Amino acid sequence: MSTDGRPLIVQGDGSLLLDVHDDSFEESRGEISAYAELEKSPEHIHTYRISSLSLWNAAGAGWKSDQVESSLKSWSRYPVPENIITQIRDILSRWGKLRLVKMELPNSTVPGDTPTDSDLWLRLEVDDPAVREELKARKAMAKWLIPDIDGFLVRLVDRGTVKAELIHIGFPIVDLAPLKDGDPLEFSLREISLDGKPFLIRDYQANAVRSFIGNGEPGTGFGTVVMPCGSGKTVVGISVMAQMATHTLILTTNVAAVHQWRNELLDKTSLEPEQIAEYTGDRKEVAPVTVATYQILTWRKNKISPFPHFDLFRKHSWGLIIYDEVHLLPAPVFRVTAELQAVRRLGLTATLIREDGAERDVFSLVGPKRFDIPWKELEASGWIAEARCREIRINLPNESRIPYAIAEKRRKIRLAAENPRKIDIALQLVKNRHEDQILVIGQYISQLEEIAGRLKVPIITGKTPNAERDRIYKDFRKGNERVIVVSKVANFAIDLPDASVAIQLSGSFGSRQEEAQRLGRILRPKDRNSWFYSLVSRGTVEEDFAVNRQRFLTEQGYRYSIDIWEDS
Amino acid sequence: MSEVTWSDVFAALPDTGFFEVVRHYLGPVSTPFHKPDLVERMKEFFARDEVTRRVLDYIDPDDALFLTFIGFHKQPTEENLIRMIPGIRYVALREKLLNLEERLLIWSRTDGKTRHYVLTPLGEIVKKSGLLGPGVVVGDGEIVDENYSRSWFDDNFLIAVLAFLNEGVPLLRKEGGWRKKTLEILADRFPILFRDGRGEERLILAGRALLAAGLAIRKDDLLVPRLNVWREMESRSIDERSAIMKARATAGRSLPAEIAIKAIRLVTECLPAGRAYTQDKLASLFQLGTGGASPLSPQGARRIIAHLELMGELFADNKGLLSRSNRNTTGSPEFEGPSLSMTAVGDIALRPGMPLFCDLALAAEPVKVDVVTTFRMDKNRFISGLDAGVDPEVFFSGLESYSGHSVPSNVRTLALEWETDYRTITMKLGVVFQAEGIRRQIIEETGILDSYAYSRPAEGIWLLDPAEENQWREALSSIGVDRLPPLLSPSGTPAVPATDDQDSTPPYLPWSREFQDPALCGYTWTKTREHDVTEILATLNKAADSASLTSEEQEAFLERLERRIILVPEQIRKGSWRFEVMSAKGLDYRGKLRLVEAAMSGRDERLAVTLAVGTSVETVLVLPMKLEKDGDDHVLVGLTLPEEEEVRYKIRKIGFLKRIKASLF
Repeated sequence: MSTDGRPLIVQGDGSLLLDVHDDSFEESRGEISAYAELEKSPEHIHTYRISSLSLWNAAGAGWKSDQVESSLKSWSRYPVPENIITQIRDILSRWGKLRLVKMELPNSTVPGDTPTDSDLWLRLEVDDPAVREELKARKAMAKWLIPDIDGFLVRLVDRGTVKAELIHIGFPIVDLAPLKDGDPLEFSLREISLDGKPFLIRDYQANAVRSFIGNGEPGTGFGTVVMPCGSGKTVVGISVMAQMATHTLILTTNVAAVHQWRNELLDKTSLEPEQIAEYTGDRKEVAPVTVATYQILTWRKNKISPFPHFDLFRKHSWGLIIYDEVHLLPAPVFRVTAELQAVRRLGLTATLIREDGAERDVFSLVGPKRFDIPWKELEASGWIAEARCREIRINLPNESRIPYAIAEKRRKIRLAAENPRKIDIALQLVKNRHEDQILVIGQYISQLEEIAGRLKVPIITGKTPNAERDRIYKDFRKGNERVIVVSKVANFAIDLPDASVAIQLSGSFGSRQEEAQRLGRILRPKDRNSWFYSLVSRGTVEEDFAVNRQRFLTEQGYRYSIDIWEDS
Repeated sequence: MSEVTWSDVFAALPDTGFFEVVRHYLGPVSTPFHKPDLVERMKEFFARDEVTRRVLDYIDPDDALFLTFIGFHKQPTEENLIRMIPGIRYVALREKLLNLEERLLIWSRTDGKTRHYVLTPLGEIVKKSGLLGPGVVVGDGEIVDENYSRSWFDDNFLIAVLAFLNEGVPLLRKEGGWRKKTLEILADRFPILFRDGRGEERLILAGRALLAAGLAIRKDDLLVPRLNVWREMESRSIDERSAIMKARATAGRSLPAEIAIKAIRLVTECLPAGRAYTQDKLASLFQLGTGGASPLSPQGARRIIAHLELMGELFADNKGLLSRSNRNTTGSPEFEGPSLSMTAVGDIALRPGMPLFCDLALAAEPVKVDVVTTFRMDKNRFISGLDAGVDPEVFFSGLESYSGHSVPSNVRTLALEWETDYRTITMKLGVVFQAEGIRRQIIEETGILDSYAYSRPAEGIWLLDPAEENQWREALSSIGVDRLPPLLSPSGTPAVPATDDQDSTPPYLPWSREFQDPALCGYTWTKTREHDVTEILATLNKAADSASLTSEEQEAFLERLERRIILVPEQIRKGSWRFEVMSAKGLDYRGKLRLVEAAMSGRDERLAVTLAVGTSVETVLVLPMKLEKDGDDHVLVGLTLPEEEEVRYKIRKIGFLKRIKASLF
């Protein structure tokens, strides 16, 4: 299709619509993604968004406002709305006005709190007197910013908090204070992994690593990499570790994921077993590479007690912290992360969606998005499995219809989710897909127990001991178990390479993230297509939930077919 | 109107004027003469390449301006021209018209007391040469560096408006202002209107257009869409619809829609992009392009400019210069490719150039109206589309046709589910007919109502179809059950039949043939450049030198050369020009009086009046208006030129008077 090489439409709200069918789509996308964030990538039009964060990210990479303007104008089919140009100029004009630098002791004195050790203090340089006055006038900032000549003094421990607070009020900080190197740890990547397969870093993984590490100058070495499930985020993490060559703390969602990280590190690097420790509810060991769960870090006796395991962050000289599934980062970990701004930080996720809107905190505390790639692009190049999504709508049994009609809302949700006919359909699907390895996933334990019992297959829930979980996963990976039933504990970070079918019996309301992560369990490339079945009770609230749940994936270009399972 | 012929021109001239002109161009006329032969010779003269080339060379920007207004306007009068040509004064206008007449470029036709001007065949040659056109009026303008303007008043907007009106959101407070909450909703959904703080003005503009075009009627605090009119509008072309809507938004009591529609099309379809013009120039352009019996007033032109700017069709830069929006949104899509795209979750994006699609407005929810307008399909909205009579198959076929892709299968399945659900309940209006006594017995026994009743819910009660009221009344009458009581509402009061307040005649502007091709689009939009005539004048002066002219003839030659009516050297010969006594001295009272009377009887002749003022002498150029008696003396009343101030001179006091003819006529 010819559109005169102008595939872009710039909307007045800062969204950028990019025509996938245009000849210059690839070229323009490369440029636009430098200053706008990819929001969705369905089949015809991809949507990017210009935001303060995306522009400051671009500014960090050296983009100037006239370059952004000229890029937009050169790709845009229609005049770029004037308000967007004004916004870009305004937002980018704030970049660089506030710089956080290492404090040189002779330059300043701190009233009433004389610094004696420059390691504990940083200087916030503010060139513009008007901005200085504005910051001085903000009472909420007074506890963190101590006025000084041409700027402020900032305690090292407040580094993250100050960055987060200032970004909330529209002032980005260029963090030029050096990062700590951490204790050194030399290791290499294997060319042949322990399981005998060649280990190669794929192009996009290498790009992600390069984007994260940058030029190594101040302002680089922290950020988030967004890649689809099954595309090898762990490999990106391992490659970053190898390049940083420093002691690393890896945080992930559950014990099974801890074991996976450990196994992957052993399989693909020269690290020895004793160099990789597990810090979980079961074991609390620390080694140059330590893999911990968010759960153990945020555990405490009661709501007012301190978090005893936070010392893991502070009492060891980490040079890198990897936040696996960073979209799940709990609020207390955000708080401790605010203290750890001198440490290099890598966030990994497939779905940077937070219903609590904390993406901004991920930006300011873990770091900006450094790399993103559309799911369908990796599917097209064969790096993740081609997945077919089918929603199957099933009537409630006759005897449930009246109770459903008169039930209050919460009860309705439960009745729809536990529609007993879903079990029959799931059994039928398991029978039909007899050559596939199948995950049956659901929200309600009683429902899962029933189907596991009828299928006579293992079940993993929150109550299943870790050792038992590991055993079941292992059997499944080896093909000893063709079907396993799992609760939401398997939503994230569980690598089951041969699973090719997922049957979703029920879910957590309209969670887009859960839907995407569940699909992600079957996206490891294999010699067959993957099938994702979602069972939905017809004529119930589940239909509305389903529409919302599917939104993220359809925005990534996945298509659901909807089948009505008619009563026989 | 057919073009004027030379025969028309010459036949209308009085003999004196005719021979003066013929002598001037062809030389002395020998008797006996045959007038038709002379007309033929004149035609031949003006058909010569050398002559037409010289006529074209002589056209300067001022000539071009007048000829453009005359050539593109329907027989303008002097009054029309004064109104259209910026800054012109009456005397200067008269002088210019006379000159163009003697150059045989224009011709005036008298209609009772009013004189109308048209181009002669020679004037038509000038028009066809490309020297005339809108560029003469607006000039070259200035090159535009940046233009952020973009029209929002397009079909995308209309689709979203129909969708919004269909939601029945109360818009206005009782006292007439906008409801605050509604305004917030509008600002959220229609951000394209609100970017510069002028959202409310734009809403008013759009509302006026909707009402004026009959697309909505006001009912209390609502604007209710009239679907039949929307459907009729949908059947028109994008260009027609755009011009009609914008004209309706612009037109008002003092600005007829027919005029507004022409002005809108001038900007949206003809005005060159990338150039900026002053407001005055654009106003003149509108006056040129909207001409007719009553050209646009300067106020009307300014009103159009203000509205076009509000609509985003014109962009005003910081110097106040106006340029048209960079790309036209209202015509055909500017880029190839589909004008609609749809995702598998039912998100729909409409690109500029998407035509009005009423089914979409009725069956999907408008999300944002921006450069691209977005909609979303959901169950409630789809069902309300079914309520409004949308046929899902027609709707989906429209989506497929505009997107070039099939509707995602899951969306189709969902919609089918929604429709099935919706159709499980049917509601019909019915008349509860209740009879008692002997009449009930008759009706029951004859079964006369059986074929009209939906059902008989109880003894003596029939549920009848109101659509068949005439038939069942007639049937009842046939068995003697007539004089039925009035139909009652559920509250017991007489039911008022539902009236259709939607009149059958759409009030919007009918599309006439005249609007289909803006006449000015095909003409030149650059300013006329003045030819360098130095060489021509040198040639003619040389010819005059060798023609041994008398001093009077030499004076006449120079004057006629100045008036650009000497075209070729052969016009310069002795005896070509007839002379009259043209001056009188102070003591020649009768002579001065005759000159004044002669000047007043001629067309726009001027007098050079020389008077003693104190110890010096002063000469004033005067346009004579009337001669008044003052005792034994006469008083010349006239206007000084170029000031056009009234003066009164006693004839006796005039020291020297000279008559100056402005034209051959």
